Amino acid sequence: MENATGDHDAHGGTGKYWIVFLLLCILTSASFFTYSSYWPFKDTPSVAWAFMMAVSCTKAMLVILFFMHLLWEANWKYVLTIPAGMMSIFLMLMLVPDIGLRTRNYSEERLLHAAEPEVHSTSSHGDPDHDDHDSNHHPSMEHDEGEHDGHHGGDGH
Amino acid sequence: MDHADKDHHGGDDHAHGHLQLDYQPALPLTLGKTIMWLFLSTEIMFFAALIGTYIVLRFGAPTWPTPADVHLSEPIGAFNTFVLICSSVTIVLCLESIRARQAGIAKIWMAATLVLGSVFLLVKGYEYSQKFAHGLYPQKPHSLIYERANLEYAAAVRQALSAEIMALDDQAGEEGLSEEKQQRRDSMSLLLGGAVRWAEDQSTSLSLSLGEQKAALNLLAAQVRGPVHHGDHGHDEEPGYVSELNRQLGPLQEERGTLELLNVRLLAERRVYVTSADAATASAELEAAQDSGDNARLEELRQTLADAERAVEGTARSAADEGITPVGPGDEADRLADLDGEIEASERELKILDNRLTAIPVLAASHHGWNEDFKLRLPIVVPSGNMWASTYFLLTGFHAVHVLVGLIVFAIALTMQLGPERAGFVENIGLYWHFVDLVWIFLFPMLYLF
Repeated sequence: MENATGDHDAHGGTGKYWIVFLLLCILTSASFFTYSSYWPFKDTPSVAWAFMMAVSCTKAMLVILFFMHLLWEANWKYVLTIPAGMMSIFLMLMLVPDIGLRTRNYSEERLLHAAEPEVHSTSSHGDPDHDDHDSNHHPSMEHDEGEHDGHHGGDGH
Repeated sequence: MDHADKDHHGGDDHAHGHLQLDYQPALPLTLGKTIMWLFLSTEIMFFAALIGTYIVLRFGAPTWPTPADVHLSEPIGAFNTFVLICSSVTIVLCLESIRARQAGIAKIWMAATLVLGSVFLLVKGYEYSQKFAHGLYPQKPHSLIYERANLEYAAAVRQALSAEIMALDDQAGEEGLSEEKQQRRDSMSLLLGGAVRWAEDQSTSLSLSLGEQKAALNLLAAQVRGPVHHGDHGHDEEPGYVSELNRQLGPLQEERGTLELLNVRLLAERRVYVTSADAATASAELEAAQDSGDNARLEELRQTLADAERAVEGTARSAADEGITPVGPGDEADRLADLDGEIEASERELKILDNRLTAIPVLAASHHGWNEDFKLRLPIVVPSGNMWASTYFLLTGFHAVHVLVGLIVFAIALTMQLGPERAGFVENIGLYWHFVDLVWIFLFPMLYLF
């Protein structure tokens, strides 16, 4: 039942699978590189996201090419993967105007109930790794205002 | 690519330029594999739709919870990634063993895949239970998630606390409360009066700025939820709201002192009017009784008048010491009514302040949030938490269902003799399993690391 190339690979040994396994493990830990102090783009989380997606795509390619044997398949593989991949991207792009940019069209009333970036008064040190840095400036601001709380009930006498 | 090209043109090379047509009845792959790949291409589009929608929702959201906000543990996620990668290796080694006609070894690899898949699901179940324990559900009424710390949120916390107190009171009505439950009831009412009502008052107080009003509600939300730990460090550190609460103590005590002084003054002023009214009554009574000839009664009334006049002198002197100038004659009744109102108001303020001052040490001692420290299930503020919960549970849920289906198929495969005739079958379920792994490879960074 196996085609010629398949049989040929079968006695190529299992070594290549272990190499792929090792690469996958290394790549998984590489995702955590963005957490380390050596990661240079702390201020722009989008760089970290792009890096992690690149790592994920590499891992996905390794799994598809070697574990799923697509590297050794005939040209039918392109018929299946390329249109499916393109449609996935189009689908995402088609959602952007109405869903991705939805907050741009929020009414005033809707914005009143929408989530707002959190004031991290709970954590004395915001995590430098994956906190959006804008919100870190709020607590001190809020604290300064909060100190004058003593005016409570100052009126009414 | 090279391989594929060689396959294609290989016939030409051997035919030395002669046209030699290979009749191929179907695709160069088995029917089972064709169908599996067609199925997988629909699966690609299914998960691409899910993941794509997640990306668009997430990056279009005004804000998004950090992994720590929603009790996601990156190491656990990474462990599960590792488990799935291992299971991909074991299933591919199972196929290789079958091709090498080693049915026994193939069965071991198959069993290993089944075990690894089960480990993945168990870890997933543990993670889900952690989310549920913190009230992170995709849907109300179980979900405790509120989008922002506003008055609606404070009201929800107040209602939940009141319900708790009422439940305890119902128990008390039947057989009385045990000491432990009485303590619980006391701390509940302390939270209610000294923190929730306080925050609601502050956030509606016209004498505070918008920022101060919001800060009061944010402080309440932070206390209910407790500190959010980013990473493993800092578990023993004091949460930020503790210092903020302690900062409030000084000004509040100062304010209480001022208010108490004011109250003393108001009471002194009130006494002036009350004593002079008493003296007036006594002199009127004395005048009315003048003609009665009842000497004993007259003597008694004279004595009362003398006492009343002495009291007037006394209160007037102490009022003068306080710098109080009583209003002119004729307006006493109006002023007395005003004073009563002012005294009532200042005493109410004092009670509110006392509540707050008693509550602050208790609140500052709660380092893990009320829900954990007081064993409550109060609403929590997680901005964009509802969208997070919907997407997280949908994505991981669909993936978990796929894992479960894979495990069932592996269990069935384990009952079979894994001879070479099963190679096609195992290859197909392997393809499916690698795809499940593939989906997780994308889900892991997007759900845990972004």
